[in-house]
Amino acid sequence: MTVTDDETFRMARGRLRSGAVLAGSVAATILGLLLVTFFIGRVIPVDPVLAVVGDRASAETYAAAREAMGLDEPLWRQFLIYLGGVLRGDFGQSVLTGRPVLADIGRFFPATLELATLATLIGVLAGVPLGVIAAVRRGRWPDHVIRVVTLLGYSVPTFWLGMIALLLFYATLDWTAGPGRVDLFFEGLAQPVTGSLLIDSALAGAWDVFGSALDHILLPALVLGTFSLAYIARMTRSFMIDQLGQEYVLAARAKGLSEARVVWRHALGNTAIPLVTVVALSYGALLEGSVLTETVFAWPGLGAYLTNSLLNADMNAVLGCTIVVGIVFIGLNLLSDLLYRLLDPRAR
Amino acid sequence: MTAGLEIAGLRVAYDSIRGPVVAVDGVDFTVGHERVALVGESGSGKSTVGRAILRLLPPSAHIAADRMTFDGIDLLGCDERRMRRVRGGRIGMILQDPRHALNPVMTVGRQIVESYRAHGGIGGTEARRRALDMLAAVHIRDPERVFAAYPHQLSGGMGQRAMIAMVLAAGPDLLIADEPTSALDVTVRHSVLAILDELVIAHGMGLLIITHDLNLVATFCDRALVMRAGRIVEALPASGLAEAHHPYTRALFAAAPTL
Repeated sequence: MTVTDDETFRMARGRLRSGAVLAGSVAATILGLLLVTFFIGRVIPVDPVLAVVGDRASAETYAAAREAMGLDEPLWRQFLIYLGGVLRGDFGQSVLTGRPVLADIGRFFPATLELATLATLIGVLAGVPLGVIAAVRRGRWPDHVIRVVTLLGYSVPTFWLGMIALLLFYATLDWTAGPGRVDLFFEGLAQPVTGSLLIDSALAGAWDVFGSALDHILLPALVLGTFSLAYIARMTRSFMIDQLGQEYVLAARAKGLSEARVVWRHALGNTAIPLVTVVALSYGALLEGSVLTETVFAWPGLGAYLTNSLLNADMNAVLGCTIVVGIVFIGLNLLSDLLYRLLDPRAR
Repeated sequence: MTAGLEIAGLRVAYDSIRGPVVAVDGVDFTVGHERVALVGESGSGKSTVGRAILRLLPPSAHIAADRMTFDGIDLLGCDERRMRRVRGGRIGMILQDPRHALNPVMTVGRQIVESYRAHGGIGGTEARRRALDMLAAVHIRDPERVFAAYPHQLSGGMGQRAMIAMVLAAGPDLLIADEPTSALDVTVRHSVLAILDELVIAHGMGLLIITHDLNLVATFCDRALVMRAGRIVEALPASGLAEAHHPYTRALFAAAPTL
């Protein structure tokens, strides 16, 4: 097969066009997200001015604060002003922390990222093999055990699981560290580079800090990981059962391949394709900030920040978090698209 | 007769909610170095027979037989390890539709190489070389390209040739072909069959072809076994199919479309 120059040109043009379409749809998604969040933030019956000045301020102070915050402008102008700020990288100030929203997010999001990534790793590394085993031993006791356990993991509320885990492994057995990201003694010792305490402390060679951080993240990561493990295992099981009934599996067995190769190479290779979406979605859900788990474990992540901001009508912070979550979701979608192409030759 | 496949009293029943369903009800036949056709309508149990020989039926199926051997190997009694060497190594199986029977996320070449490596105990480079030879042997003009291609990039006829190459790779002595051409275009059926026929003769293999295409049987096979409702109702030379006595065979023959 020879590729002519004309074909090369057409392919390049097609790629350019799909790139432009992609960028356009990303921009439209973020704009829509901002629009909706902004207006919801303005119509809900909370008063951000009151949150700043307190309910004992005089009418003049109130009016001055309202003007300073730009809330006397018409709604559409407020939005345009906000949008202009966002485009310049200015997400406004957080009323609650008194710092730029972007700086706050830069501080809180890595904690969530670290936790969610570790939990997803646990979910994939344990959930996929469990799902495969359940599918292969379908209808027999390993399948029943895995199904019951994953159903429990899926339906037990994570905050409850978190509290029980703390009670058992921290308070009673004293196997792990308690709430927080790191022991107080080590707080702020590692130079923030990536924002992930594990990576930063390892980079600095501060192994005592690393050990303490690992000790702290283990329990919340396991609790969150249980949920994602249960979801991933159940989906893997059903995808695998579907794949194991396919003709190519019969053909692979008829070739005399070992059952291990048929299952883990042939069937799992095809199961991996739909699984990408499942893993991306569950990762995305965790990145949104698992509010309850972060609360139970006093984890200073995005979920805790977002909740605090919402409860205090700190709309700039809420909007900022919304954009971050939106971008994370769009990014994960792109990533899973990319992985799809990598795993499925038919999608290339 | 000791060589080849010998089956006596083969019975297969599937578990179902309403009790066991008998799919194959006492089948006896042998296949030596010859081309035998197993014909019958859908649901007559012919595919079940083919898969029962390699013990590739789902767990809900129960296989029993007075005797089921291949070259003296007890196909029912031997352990899974032994059976794995039989599958592909001694008895190969070609399935109906290459679009489903080839793994969509693995290149054709890898799937052929895998056959060699499962049985030959040969290295990757040698396996690759042999796989390319095998692709040339099934009359694929550009073996390198097909080797690197994914199944969806091949046409039906091309895919079925690749499948034949994959199944013949480990040099089986008996080939079970389950409707090998019914998923193909009428125009390529003949060429795929011709390749199959050529290779079966060249390698001195036995062939058990499972089909409902009586024209194919008359042209390509030595003997025909007619199955109905889990039993073989008539066994006769393929050339004598048109003069069959059994009313079912006659009905089957009368139902075949003429081109």
